[in-house]
Amino acid sequence: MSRPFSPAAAAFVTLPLLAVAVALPAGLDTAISPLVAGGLPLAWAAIVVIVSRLDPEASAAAFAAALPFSAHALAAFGQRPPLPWLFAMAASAAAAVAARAAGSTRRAAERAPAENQARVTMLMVLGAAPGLTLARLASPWGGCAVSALVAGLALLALERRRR
Amino acid sequence: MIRQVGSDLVRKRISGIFSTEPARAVRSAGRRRGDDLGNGRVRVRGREEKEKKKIKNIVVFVILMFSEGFNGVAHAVPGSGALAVLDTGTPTGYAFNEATVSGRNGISGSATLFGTSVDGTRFKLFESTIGFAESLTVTYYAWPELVSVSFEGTDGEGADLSASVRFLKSGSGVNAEDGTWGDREAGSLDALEFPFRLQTFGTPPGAIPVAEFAGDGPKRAARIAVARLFVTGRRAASIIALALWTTAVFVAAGLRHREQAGAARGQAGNGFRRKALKFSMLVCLVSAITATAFMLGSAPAELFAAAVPARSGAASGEAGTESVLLVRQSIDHGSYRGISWNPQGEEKSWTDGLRFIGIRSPHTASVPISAFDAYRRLRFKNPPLVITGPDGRTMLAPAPFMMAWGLHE
Repeated sequence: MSRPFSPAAAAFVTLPLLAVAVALPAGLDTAISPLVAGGLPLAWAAIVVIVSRLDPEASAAAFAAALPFSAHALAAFGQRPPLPWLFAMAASAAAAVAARAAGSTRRAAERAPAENQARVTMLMVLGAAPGLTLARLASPWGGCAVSALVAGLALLALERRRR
Repeated sequence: MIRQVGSDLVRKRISGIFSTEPARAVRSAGRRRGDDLGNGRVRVRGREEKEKKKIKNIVVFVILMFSEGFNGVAHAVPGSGALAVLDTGTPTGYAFNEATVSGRNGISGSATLFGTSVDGTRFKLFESTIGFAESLTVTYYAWPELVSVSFEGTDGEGADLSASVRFLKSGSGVNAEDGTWGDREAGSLDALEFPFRLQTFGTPPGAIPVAEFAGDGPKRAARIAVARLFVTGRRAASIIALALWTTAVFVAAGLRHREQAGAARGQAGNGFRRKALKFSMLVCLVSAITATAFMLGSAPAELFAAAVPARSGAASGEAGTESVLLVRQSIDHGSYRGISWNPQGEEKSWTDGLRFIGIRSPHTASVPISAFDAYRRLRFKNPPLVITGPDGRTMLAPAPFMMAWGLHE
């Protein structure tokens, strides 16, 4: 059974990220990959979504809660330029949530297999991977565009199924 | 540019040569060999003889080149027709130096200066991209083991342009101990060691006693500097913003939870407009907080410098030094922050101008070369790359944490 975004889930997402932000210095000796710097907070949000079995709406809230931490990490630790990567990360998170929502169902009988953790993980990976791969191999703006396309297709599929 | 002292350590021999020079040298060598053979014997113009002559010519050419040592010769790429003159002046070891590159068709596009160390290691010392210039002033770091510099770029017509200069050691400047060129100051910097740097966490102290900092001399001072003094603090503004965001998320999740519980009891409506309004507010709020965290997250580059007693006794027992504190001073220079650790009050003579320097500029080129104007000598752990910024100023290229020993004016 999937769960809503409770205060406990909110604390589960944000408090560890805040602790890491407090512990780390304002800048590192070496700039790290933006994919790592910006991706880790969102990856943590994805882990919380999977472990806590959050519903699609709560998944979106979890990623939204982690996004400022991703922006902070990109600006502080990531290689330059960080702004395109911020858009690429946000778009890939949106694509992951949209893909996860497209794979969910409202029917109670089908809900249990639909909310299977492995399936949810696969859906989010499928949603985020194309954009992130293109961002890594080509350019962050390209990855952003592909993620937006994936999110749009996932939402279209969701809407068609609802009708 | 650091004032150059200790001249006549290196001599620049010749600057400038043309693309046809190697070919001419081969021809002249061949003619000389021909004269030597003119003793009445009949020359056989067979294929075998021609090959032998070619081999001889090549051998003579190589011998001639080695006998000349290629010293100070700047040469263009064979066949390119591009002319380049590289004038390095008289470089000073352990300092930033300037060289001038010029070409008949000017210089355009990328311009790179490489340096080769005595062990054959090649370092990129300068890099820039220019629109067009008749000549280019190149700032580069020189150290005693630097044996040659070479310029690679393109001229105004897009042809390859290259030139190189090999440095010779003058007799007066050679160190007796290691054979490298230098003087007493260079020798004193040579003896200093660099510590191993690990990413440091925490907050740097406001002051540190000299006896604790450099009780055992410069080696200990450098170790303590990288571990405790050259520490990047935290950005309070970004952490406060993130803490507020964490609280807001927690409160919003609680309110949403209560609302859902109320909706389950039929106390509240859940129309489309209401949902859309909430979604729009959420997107705006997340965007605003994300933008704030993004803007506040970036920390400026830092140039650390700590005054170090040159003699171990100065810090650990000599009269008047027991109570001396090194006090932290931070000055904002715009693109970077200068953080120095100096003795309280007037600078004591025991420092001898020796500084241990750390440069943290991993993201962008932020520290200009002019920041080192106050140092007459600088010994970097690894030769730094100099680039030109958008405003034309020469700056240190972004790189992992750099360390250097410096002699302050």
